[in-house]
Amino acid sequence: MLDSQQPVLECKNLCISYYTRTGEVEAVVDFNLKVLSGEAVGLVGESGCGKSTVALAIMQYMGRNGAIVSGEINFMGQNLCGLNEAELRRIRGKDIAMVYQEPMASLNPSMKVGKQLVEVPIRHEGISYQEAFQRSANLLSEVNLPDPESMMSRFPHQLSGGQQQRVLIAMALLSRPKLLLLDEPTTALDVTVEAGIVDLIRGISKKYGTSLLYISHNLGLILETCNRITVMYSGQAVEHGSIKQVFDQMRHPYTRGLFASIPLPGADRYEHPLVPIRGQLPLPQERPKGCYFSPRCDFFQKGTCDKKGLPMENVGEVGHDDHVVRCARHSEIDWQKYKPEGIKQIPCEKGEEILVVEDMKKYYEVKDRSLSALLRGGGTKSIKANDGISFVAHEAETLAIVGETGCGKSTLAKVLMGLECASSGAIRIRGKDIASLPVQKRNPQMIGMMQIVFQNPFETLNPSYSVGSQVARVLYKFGVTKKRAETQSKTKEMLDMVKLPTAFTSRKPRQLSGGQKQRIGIARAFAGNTSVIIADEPVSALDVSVQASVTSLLSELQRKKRTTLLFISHDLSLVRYLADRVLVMYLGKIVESGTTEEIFSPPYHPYTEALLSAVPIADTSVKKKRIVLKGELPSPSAPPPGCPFQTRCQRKIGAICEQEVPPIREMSAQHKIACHLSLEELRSMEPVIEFAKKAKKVA
Amino acid sequence: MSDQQTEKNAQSNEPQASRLLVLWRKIALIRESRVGMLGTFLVAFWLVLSVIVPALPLFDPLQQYPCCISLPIASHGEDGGFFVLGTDDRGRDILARLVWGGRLVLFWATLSMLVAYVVGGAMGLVAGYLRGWWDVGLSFLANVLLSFPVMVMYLLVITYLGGASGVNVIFAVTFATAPAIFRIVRGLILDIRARDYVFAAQVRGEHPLRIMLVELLPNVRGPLIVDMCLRLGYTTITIALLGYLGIGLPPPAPNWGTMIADAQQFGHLGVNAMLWPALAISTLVLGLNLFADGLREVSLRD
Repeated sequence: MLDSQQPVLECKNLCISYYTRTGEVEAVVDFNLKVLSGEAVGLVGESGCGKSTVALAIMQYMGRNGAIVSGEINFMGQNLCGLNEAELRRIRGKDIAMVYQEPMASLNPSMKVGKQLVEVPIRHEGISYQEAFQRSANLLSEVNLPDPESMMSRFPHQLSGGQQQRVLIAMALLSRPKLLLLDEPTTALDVTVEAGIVDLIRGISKKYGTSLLYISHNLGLILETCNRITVMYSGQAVEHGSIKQVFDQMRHPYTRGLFASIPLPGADRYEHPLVPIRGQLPLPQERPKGCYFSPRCDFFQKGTCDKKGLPMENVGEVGHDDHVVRCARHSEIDWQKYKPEGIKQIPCEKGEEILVVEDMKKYYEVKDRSLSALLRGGGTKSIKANDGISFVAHEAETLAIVGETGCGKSTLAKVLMGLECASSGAIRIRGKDIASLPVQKRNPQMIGMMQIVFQNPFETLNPSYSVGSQVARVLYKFGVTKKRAETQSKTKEMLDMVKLPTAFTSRKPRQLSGGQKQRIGIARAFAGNTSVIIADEPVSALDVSVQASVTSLLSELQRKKRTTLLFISHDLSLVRYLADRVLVMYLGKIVESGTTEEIFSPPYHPYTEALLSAVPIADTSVKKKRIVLKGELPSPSAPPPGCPFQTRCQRKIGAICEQEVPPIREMSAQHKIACHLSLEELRSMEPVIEFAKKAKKVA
Repeated sequence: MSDQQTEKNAQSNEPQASRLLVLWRKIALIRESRVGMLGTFLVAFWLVLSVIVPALPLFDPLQQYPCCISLPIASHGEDGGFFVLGTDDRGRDILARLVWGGRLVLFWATLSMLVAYVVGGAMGLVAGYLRGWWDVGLSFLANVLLSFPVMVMYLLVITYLGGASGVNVIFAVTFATAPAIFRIVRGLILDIRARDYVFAAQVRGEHPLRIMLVELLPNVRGPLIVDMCLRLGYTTITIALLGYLGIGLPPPAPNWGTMIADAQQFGHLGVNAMLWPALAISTLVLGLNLFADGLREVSLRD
């Protein structure tokens, strides 16, 4: 690094605290960061590690109870901490811009998009409205929004999430900032939309010379967008270096743990088991002395790791400080020998057919009650949420259902659970047809046979009752136990089963971490004599290190109890790791089905191909084909004629796709693809994800 | 598993407090809000007074002393009695009437507020959770009731039911406030009815009644408690108002509204007798409002 080059942003020994009722909470401790001109730096870490606090501190938006205790934040050589409000206003939005996680919450819902855009240059540069309008329109087309001028005359709610985020990025770029902060800009979006945004972000620094600070919990996204990366843990930076250094030669045990706990879509689940990081992130008030990671670290050594004030030490070449790590034992650890034991999965023979779904359709009738509809007569639209779903699930099998928002997977779960009745078709569980049997008419045994694990750990448990009583209610309701004492002991048994201490029975949900709540959710689902468990994105809201242990628990229980698991997810890496068979859904239809191997290798359905290419993979040796889908997801109330995917398909043949429903091509006994492409064309497809041959060496 | 070990350690650091202690700690948080403390003090003042009033050395509030009519503050009666706040137009001790009146007003206000809450809350639960025609029907009913001028409603309900009595006051208050409570409860329920734990209860086949009362209701208690405190204040005003109009709690039992109405007829002679009940109403209502504000403020803080 040359000394003459002044960094755009430099954080020096930054300490940030929040002051709460219980006292001072040190959110960020001794944080250092340099962002050079035109460079993209990633900031990665789990929730609660202080990465968003750093971003807010850079913008000087600390709120009433937050303060920068010590250290400085230099922007272009100027310390931001000493500036007053008026001076800050001149910098915010002009020299430093920020893009937030929730696009809808960042746009003013009562103002047209265009008006919000032109405000920025008018406010900061005092240019005329016409000029500002022209510049905004230009920038909108540069972020690949079609028809910028009509886009500007719309209100935010008339745009999709991906379009909103593009507008926000355009807004952030309008005044040509020197530094752009991106705080989890794609977390709220679907993977294929995310891929488009990531493509856009990658081009920004090259095109405009803007420096980026990209905050994310997803290592794969950082790999795709950044030059350098800082890994944070519990308020501290623990490792910093170039992407190559950190991804290929990680030196901190936490970084290592992070990489070991994320499933890679190429990895075989039996050979490369996931390795969860044990324990959980300590609260800021309960951080251990010395290394904050020490209680969860396999290399902890008394006397070395619990000394106060561990420095960042250089592990790169002598004389360069570009790869630093905060670990007292980094030079002693032999990474090559270190092979932590993961959670081994044993292949499991599948049994008889448990759940059979035949040509199930769920249409919602939406009546148009407007006056014009009345005058025209009629006006009943039907939304085809599920349109002819057929599949079979066997005992002890994991069947993954993959698809993005609006593909109908949640409706499918609702129909299976009996909260909605199917419009037509059959659903048989152990031979009994339940398609038109709402949950109120099912008997307790039947209800207990099929249960669900929910997505959001913060909503899955009723906040008013103790954890034990909620599990006990399920046991009682399904007639598993009759007497009070029996229920109590069985409840403890259930907690033990999901590896939680039995003392948790008397705890309230808010005293549990997200992963622990999700374990209770799993215990609850297994409480009856369950044959089928539907898991609706069970770990997508959890941190990666916790994801691994919850996923493993779920699949371990499923195998032990020989339960059928319907795993609904959009995370293809996880699906690869968990599932035996996969269904890919798009707009209420199954477009591809087959064993996991078949789905992840060619031939693909074009949609599966796009999905696979959109998955961010945290491995430098992986080569991916990039496919960015164009257009927006059509509304299920007006699905396109012919093939549902034709409006966005990258392999569209022509008129036939728009006119005829695609035939189902049987590639093998299990593997079915609904596509107009000929068998030869399908067979000639190349794999989306390729591993460079043994390029990865552990140095 | 070592995972389990760390979690067990975390458990031992945090001893389980008894439920009462937890509740007390929550209430004690109001100390952090200054207005909340002022409110607590004012409400506690009237609450304690109305509980211990039978044990206080006061005059009989109904006893008339014809010799001592409309006396000012701190007057000695002819027979040696000392009237701290003076007497009213019939020679009754104002202090005794004030404190006994407070007891009566608080009792009926609390009771009518609770009845209104049961009615409005039940309607709100049903409309918010079941939606559909229940929601359409109940919302329409609430809108009709809300569109009535309140004063006309009071007069109509009470005269229709046969004049001034405690029970009729409850009816009047319920008719007037249940629709507002309905709207609050319905809104809160609409917000949480799509949470996963409700979904979980549905898929284990729970009865809708159980879902409403056991799964939903306890989770909206926070804002409802704040609203109850505010509404108790409004109900106090309503009861005083009804007393003032002569359609509230029947005389001769003392209540603040009637006390003001009685004194009003005597122009400047009645000022003393009017001042004290007016002051009582405003301190109690102010106290309840401040207490509610304090609760809200404290609960919003982290």
